[in-house]
Amino acid sequence: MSWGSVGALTGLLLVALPVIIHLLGKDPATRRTFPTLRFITASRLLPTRWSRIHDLLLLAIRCAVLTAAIVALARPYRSQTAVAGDNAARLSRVVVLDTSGVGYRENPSGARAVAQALVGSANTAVLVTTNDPTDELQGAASWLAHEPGLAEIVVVSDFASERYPENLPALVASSIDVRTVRIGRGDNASTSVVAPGFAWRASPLPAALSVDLIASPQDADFRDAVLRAVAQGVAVDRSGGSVRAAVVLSGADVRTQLLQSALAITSPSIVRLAARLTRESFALPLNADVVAPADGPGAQGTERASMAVPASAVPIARARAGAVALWALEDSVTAGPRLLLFSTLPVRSPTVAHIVAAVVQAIAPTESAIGVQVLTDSVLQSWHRAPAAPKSAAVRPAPADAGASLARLLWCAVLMLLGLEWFVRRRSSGVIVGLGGHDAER
Amino acid sequence: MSSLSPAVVAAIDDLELSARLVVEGLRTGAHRSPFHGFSTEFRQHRPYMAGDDLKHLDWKLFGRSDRLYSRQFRETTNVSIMLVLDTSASMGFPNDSAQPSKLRYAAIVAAALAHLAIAQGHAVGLMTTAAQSGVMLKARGGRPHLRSLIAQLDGLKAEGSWDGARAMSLGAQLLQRRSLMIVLSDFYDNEEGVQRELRHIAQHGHDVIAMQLLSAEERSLAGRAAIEFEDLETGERRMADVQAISADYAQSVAAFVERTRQSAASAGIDHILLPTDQPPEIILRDYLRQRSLAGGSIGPLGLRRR
Repeated sequence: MSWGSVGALTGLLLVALPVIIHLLGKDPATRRTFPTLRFITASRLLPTRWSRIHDLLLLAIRCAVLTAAIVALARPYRSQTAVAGDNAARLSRVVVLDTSGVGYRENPSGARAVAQALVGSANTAVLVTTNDPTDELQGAASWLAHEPGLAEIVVVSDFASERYPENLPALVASSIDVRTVRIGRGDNASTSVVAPGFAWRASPLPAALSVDLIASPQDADFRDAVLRAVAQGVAVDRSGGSVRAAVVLSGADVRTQLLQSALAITSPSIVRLAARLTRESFALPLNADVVAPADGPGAQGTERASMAVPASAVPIARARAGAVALWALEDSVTAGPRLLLFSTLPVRSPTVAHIVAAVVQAIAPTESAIGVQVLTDSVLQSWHRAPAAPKSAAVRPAPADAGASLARLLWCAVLMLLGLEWFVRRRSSGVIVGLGGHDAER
Repeated sequence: MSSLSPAVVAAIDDLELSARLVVEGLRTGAHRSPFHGFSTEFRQHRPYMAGDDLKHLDWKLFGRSDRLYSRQFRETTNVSIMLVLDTSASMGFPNDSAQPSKLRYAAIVAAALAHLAIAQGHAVGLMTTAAQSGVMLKARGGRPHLRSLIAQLDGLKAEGSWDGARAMSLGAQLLQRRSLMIVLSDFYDNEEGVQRELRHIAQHGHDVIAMQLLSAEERSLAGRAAIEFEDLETGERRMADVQAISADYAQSVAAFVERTRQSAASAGIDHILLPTDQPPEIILRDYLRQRSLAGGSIGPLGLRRR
């Protein structure tokens, strides 16, 4: 519901006026000349007469008259864009969790957590756990056909190539979007999604390779960042024993400790990794996300000081304005060498997902090194469809003059209520009731 | 001719016109003229009609012609009728323009009766006594007197209180022989004294008709609100919840009317209730027909036989 004149709704305060008058007013009773008083017995008077049922009826009618008039003045309407917006904002989703793959068997709780996160982020969602995802697609599509708004099927799987056809979306109607979430292997821990220490890892990665995304567990935006990264085809897994890289974001509780314990990059593998990141990975759209200090060339030093970044830290990525967005150091605490990437980027930033994806790509080995044959990301990406127009058949579009019609209806209601008020007042023998007055009781 | 609603009657300013309309209403549907003189002079014969009084049948003519004829008589002034009107302030109720006040209603009824009576040769007088002024017209016949009487009726105003006993006593004094007195009042004032005087007049041989006028608002209180009532005559005020007292009020008024009726009946006085929300000609026609058929009187406006 939209309003042509929202300010007019403040007039609803006027509804209190008849109530106050009704409760406080004490008008004198009507005087009537009469031939004789010999048959009229005096009555005891009460101070107010608010408890009279017919008075309350009259009061309710008067309040309704005021309310209807004020709402009509506010010119309510329901526009077509609002109707379409309601549909567009509505997302119905079927999450198909593939339990047949190695990815699920190695970390079933992690896979379920991912599926549950997907279920929770839709307006209406169903979680289907199956050993044969392709067999469930028809049923999911038929259920989504009756749901308003956007519809999509999300398949959570490791996408072993032998169990999936090359063109999975051909199994469902074209109006339904098909998305994929890949789950990897090598995880043993069970934990929730919103927690530090998660590894962001592209599915082709062997278990020994992973990237940590370290952020504050209290940061609700962290969850959004995780989901955004998932949407881009990066699987979330609990890091195993072997850690190679971590992205430390602003707000992380452990950032200071990591900075203090970090060393200059010396390990050969880390040197190569940092060089690779610096050289080719970060063509990042940093303009929107990196807040560069306003004081020009000296900004670098100021920024470094504010983050307490050691002088040995290597700048990996900069914003176009020159501000450093990412520094690299080597972690000396973990068992194996780990590349620490410190950033001032906000967790919510889309750039975080780019960074994670870039790090993953940089440290990922070739597919030939992976034991299990899975569908490539490009294949999965090809399955993704552009969002179809939301289904609006279930919602009757509002006519062009719906706002004026609604206002006219309200004014008609006002007239009818006024007539009713006149009738009730007349039934009360012409006395102005509802304004207090003396009551009489025998 | 349809009956006149009180609202129509109230809308006619000309009292004589109103009275004529009422009289026309009285004549409508009558099988025979209800107005016969008491002491009459033979005028003509006419064929007997069902319902004619057998005492007027000419048996000698029947014996000669084997046909039934009724005798008709020339009417003469033989009855004096005194109209006594209550002009107290209470008779000015209701005081809205939608319906006639009781005084206006009484004036119309009185004018209609006078019109009828004088047209039949009776003598009609008028007696009102108010606080400041009163009207005293001796009973006479003739058109000029009728116009004068109607003019007096037209000028009556409801004000002050009304000494009904004194008015009736004065009216009776103006009647020199056994006559008919018609009292039009609401009988609110001095109930005991008025009833006593009515009985007194009846005991002196006069035929008395008590016409009690009550409006619809007086017979039953309408509304549910608290109302402060103000007495039209005394100015006294009294607060009352109409809804709470309406049932008792209606009961009290009905008892008052019944009490007046019984008191009148015990003295041989006719009592007529004239609700001012009903057409006057219907009530009068019914009453006059009933009075005529009762056999106690010689004609509806004639005196009862003793």
